[in-house]
Amino acid sequence: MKKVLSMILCVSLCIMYALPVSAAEVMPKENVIEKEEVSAISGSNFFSRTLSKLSLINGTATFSSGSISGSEQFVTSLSLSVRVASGISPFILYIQAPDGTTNSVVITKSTTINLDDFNGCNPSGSWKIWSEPQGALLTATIRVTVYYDYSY
Amino acid sequence: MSISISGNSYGHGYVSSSVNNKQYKVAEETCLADVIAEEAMMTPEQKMMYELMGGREAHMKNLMRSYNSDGDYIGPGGIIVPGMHHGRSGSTDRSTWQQIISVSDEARQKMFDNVKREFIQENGISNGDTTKRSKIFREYQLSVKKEDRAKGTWTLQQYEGKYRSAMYAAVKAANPDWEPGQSFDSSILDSVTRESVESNLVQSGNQFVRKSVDYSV
Repeated sequence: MKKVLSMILCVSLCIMYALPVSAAEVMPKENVIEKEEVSAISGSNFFSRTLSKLSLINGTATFSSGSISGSEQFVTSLSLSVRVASGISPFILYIQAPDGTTNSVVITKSTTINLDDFNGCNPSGSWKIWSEPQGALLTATIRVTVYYDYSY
Repeated sequence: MSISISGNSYGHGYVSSSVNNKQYKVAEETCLADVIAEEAMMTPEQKMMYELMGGREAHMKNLMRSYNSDGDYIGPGGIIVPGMHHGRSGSTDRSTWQQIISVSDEARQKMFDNVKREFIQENGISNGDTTKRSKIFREYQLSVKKEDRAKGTWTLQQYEGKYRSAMYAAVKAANPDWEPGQSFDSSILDSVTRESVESNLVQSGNQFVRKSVDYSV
């Protein structure tokens, strides 16, 4: 039995010495610098706010994103659902992202609009909405939903 | 031809205006058709109230307050920094302003410091209720010429995301079980500097991407 085990050991050692060995493998491990992409955790999320007349201050409604997921985030879509009384005069609705990026839409009736103008912006912070002529928001109910992707 | 508009409609002070100035011309170009259409739809009672409040002149004067002397729409109370309004939805191709340009060290450092302060304060959570990022962007926008504001803001935002990611990675590396919202030793972030983050970034299209992450095993 001992002879058999010795034979196996000898053969194993011979094979080990015959195998090619890279430089990296013989270096002490603590000196090895490896390069690797950090594996990112990612996902999608959204926040939604309904703006009441009470949220208007000096004609401007402000709403916060609240706490949002991820260390990097970017808007993928913004949905505006506007409810107005029939026969209302057309008005322009302005939307401002927390970074100051501003776009507008013309509202002529109750509608839901998906905007891609803010795509790529970071949604974290205070968003603002107002109308021209100012005061038109007083007759509208607006629900804003901001969809975003995030990663860590 | 010029007209003088006086009065105190909408509770604002006396303003004398000329139809020849840029403010009026842009307001007219943008809104006069809507104003006329709006007037046409008014009931006699609404029309009477409208006239009592100053009529079209007062209405136009009110609209003009939302434009600066260059004719830029700045919104109520100057809420928009000129150069940051991209017009009606879909009218401006995002690729015209979502571009990487050079942003000063000072502006980037301000953003880095804010990200770090908020990362520590909020234990790694992006808290839209407390963030001061809008202020940082506005200050930056007012410090550069109008043509660079939107592009520079986009660029600064790309840096901002990478600073935050680097801080997340550093805390996670020091404590693999850490999750955003849990407290951590803020000294972990001492090794994360703006320079160290930026040295590891390369531009890819209109974004920055990390080259790689080096670490010792």
